[in-house]
Amino acid sequence: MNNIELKQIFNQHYNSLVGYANRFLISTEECEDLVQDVFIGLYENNNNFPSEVSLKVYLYKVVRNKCYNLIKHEKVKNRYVENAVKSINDNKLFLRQMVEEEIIDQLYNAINQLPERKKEIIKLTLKGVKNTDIAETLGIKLQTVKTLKSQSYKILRDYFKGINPVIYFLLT
Amino acid sequence: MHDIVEISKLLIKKRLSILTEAENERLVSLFKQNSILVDIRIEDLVDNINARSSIDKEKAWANIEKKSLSSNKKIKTFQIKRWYKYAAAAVFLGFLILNYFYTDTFRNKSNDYNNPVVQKENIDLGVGKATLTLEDGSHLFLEKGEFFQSDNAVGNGDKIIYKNNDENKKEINFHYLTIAKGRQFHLVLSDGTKVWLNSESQLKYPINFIQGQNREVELVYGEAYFDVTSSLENKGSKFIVHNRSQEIEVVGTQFNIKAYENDPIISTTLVEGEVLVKNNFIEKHLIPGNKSVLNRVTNKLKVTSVNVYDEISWKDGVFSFRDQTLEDIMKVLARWYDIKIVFENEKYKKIKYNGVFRKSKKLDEILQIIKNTNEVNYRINKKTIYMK
Repeated sequence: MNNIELKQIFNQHYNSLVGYANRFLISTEECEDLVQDVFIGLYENNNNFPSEVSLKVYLYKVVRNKCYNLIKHEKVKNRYVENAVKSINDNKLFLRQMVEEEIIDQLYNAINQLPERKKEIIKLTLKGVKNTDIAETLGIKLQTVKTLKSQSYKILRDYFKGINPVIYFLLT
Repeated sequence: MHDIVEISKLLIKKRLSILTEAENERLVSLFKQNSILVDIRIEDLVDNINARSSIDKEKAWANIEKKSLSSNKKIKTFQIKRWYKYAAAAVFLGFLILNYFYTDTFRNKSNDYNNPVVQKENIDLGVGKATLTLEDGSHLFLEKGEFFQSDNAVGNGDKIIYKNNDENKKEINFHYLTIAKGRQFHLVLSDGTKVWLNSESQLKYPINFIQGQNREVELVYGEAYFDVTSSLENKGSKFIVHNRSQEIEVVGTQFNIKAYENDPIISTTLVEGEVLVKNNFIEKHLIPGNKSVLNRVTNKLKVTSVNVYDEISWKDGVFSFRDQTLEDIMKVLARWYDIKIVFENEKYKKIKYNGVFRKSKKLDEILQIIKNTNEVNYRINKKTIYMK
């Protein structure tokens, strides 16, 4: 069985789809189950796709529908569910959510190549935490924070400067 | 045209303060089209990065394999393969968002204000489309500067190279490459044959040639220059170029063929080697330096000796005209710059010129040079050039 293509699609999209589903469903496990089913669906019926709809958007839409069906039938209507229904039905938000998931994914891939300490520091930095607060949180010297921060920034900058988005899409 | 990946990358770059001026402009215009994206803040997304790392992808994949095995449905790998290919293409073109979220109103408004009533138009080098049509009929647009890769080929916006798969395939699948006005393309077929496709041309060719059979391609319309790998390298397989009205049989050679739809004439120019030009009525051997001209209407075939360079210079990015009528010259320019030509006086059509231009020149500059001969003047209205 040749499933290299599906594995590629999976590797490319699995995380962000789970992240997206997690916006509407509380349990990550449930999200993972749901997204796995989407990939199995892709595997089994792949005959009738409109040719000009991107795979990415298609996958998000399927996940969106599945989530919608789940929360619609949720017996206990709580605030979380109400908000989720509202946001899942908003097409403009849909674009925004896809972009956000993509950003998270790209950052995750980029940051993942850094050593642990630098990962911590860059995440806090990106979050807008001040150097002094980072030093305090991590229990390290301010000067160390500054050094590690500028090193990690450089790696990230090179990473994002270098990669053409198209090639990036095809290779990862 | 934009897509999710591009927007995301621009936003990250902005956060890292490495946005170039051009990228910033791009982002601003994307924001105008999709105002919902304006207040995305990277700061708010960082916590989600941590959630990503808690996902066990290996385990998830194992689950998928297990579940799909236990469901008894037949797995159609082949279908996925094809669907994925054009899906991938669609992703990097980002069709959907464009159609889905684009607010035309904004755009139209700004256009109205930006267009002064009188404006001397400067038509730039045309940026046409290059379209690859796959065996299942789906289309892939080959954008300049964009890289693409599939099972049997790699390429970018200027060329495609097909791999030589040595497997003994019995089935032939065809691809079509269609080049619009203002663009030209380079193609390497699986047997190593090189093809240059000129503007407004279409070529049909197999992804793979079958060993021991003729290698056949079709110039559906337009102009192409072929540098064919010899039959000897291909176990004696002949190379044949079909066209509506003629066929060219090749032994291993370089030649140019021009067969535009709105032109009753098909010309074939041989640079090197040996070819046989034939149709149902006639056949003729060409020797290097020969140009055969077939009239599709009368079916007359005339062979003359020509300066080969003038015929094939287009493939090197040059227009070379020797003793050619303005009518013929303007036809070539119209194809490249995607413009219409109107002769306000028939007699201008017959003026003959010599000249060599780089294709990267602006149309204005070329027209100015023609004008400087004092034989003819021109005026431009939108995309039409009036020769007066």
